[in-house]
Amino acid sequence: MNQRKNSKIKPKYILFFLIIICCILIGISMNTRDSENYIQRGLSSIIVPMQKGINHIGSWISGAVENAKTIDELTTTNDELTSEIESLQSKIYALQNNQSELDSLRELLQLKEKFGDYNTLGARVIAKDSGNWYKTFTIDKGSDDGIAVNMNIIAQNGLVGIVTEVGNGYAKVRSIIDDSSSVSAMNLKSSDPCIVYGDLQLLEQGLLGIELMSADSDFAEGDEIVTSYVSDKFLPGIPIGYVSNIEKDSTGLTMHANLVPIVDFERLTNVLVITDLKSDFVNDNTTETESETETESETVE
Amino acid sequence: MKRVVTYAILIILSFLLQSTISTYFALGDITPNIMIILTTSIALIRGNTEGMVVGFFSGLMLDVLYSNYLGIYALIYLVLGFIFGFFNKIYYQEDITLPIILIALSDFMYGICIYVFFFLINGRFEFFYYFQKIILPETVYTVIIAIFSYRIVLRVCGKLDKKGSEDLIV
Repeated sequence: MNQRKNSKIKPKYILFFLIIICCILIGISMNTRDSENYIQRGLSSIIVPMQKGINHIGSWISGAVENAKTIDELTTTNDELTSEIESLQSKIYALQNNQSELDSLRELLQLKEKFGDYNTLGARVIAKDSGNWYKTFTIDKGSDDGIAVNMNIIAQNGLVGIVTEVGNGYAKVRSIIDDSSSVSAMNLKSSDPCIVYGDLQLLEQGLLGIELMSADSDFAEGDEIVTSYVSDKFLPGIPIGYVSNIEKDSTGLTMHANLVPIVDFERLTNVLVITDLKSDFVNDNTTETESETETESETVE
Repeated sequence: MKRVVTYAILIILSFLLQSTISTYFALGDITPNIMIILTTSIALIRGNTEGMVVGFFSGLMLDVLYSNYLGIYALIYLVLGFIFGFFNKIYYQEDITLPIILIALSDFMYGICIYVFFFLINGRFEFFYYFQKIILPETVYTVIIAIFSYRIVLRVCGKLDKKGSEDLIV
């Protein structure tokens, strides 16, 4: 009754035909992976505005849900925050002292200030990858706003991810918690190199993985991990997170550990795009970086 | 023609819902797979040719927007649409249990496919972990959403039939 045999071609043949198309597409896209993908861009620029619109509805609804939080909860957090402000203020005074000392030392060394002077641009997260297996998202700024591939994304003073694809009014970001992400990083204190990688299994506990530290390298629980100088895509000195749970590998030659990220990836609505590219910095005085690491590690103490 | 346009709208709509709104309603970081619901429902209601075509274009859409390799999602959705089209023969409209069970099965198979194609190949062997943390919760959540959205698809298909739109699809 429901079946309508109006097509004369047997489904079997259509299936074969479409499977062949799929195989051809897979073959083509594997070979031309890095080249410009016009179909993808074209379709994205149609879909992204729609996603933006629907996203407004979604954030409105979830905003209404958030508002329904009890006042109790808010007053307790308010108390917590006021006490935190006090402790932070005292820290700021201490840091200001350090800063003035650092400035004078920097002047002495005649070093350019390298950290904190990246140009940034605010952006809003408008869509997440439609599925549960990947951790990529789309932001509402694109090539029109000067965004380019390989620009770093930060939020809450920590590294979020990297731009992998750019269209006119949108950009795709692969976050560092994605299973396929790995970031070349180092220990801020000891400058020992390591690699921070995303792992779906660790993510369950809100963690990332760290590997490739040689067994004699200097890592301790709570050490801050920042992006390293050797990465060709990530700018140096962006905080990623803190070391926890160090373990030796069975071979005894390497170690691995977990990393507690600074960024709360669950609630990522606004991010900052660093509009400086690593490749622009590469020709910049690479010889100075070593000495600068030294000064940076002193400020942490 | 009306049918083609309706399917196109359904595909785009479910894609938009899946990539935007459903992330706000994620339970334990798991979102339902609305495109699987659409593909399986159409396959059940209309048979494997249409299920296949809808699946192919749904998958292609995901490919174009999210995948590194064009065609992998299209292949998975296409095959699922084809397989579940066979159940059209034992399906009748008043029954809701069979479609729900089949949508669950479909999403489950989809999860296995994604695991094999993208994760097993990268040397992630802890199948049970992914099964427990992603495939199973996603299936359960998808089924809950399917109970509502299946009826919507059924109603849309019913409307198309009533108007006597006898256009050929493909």
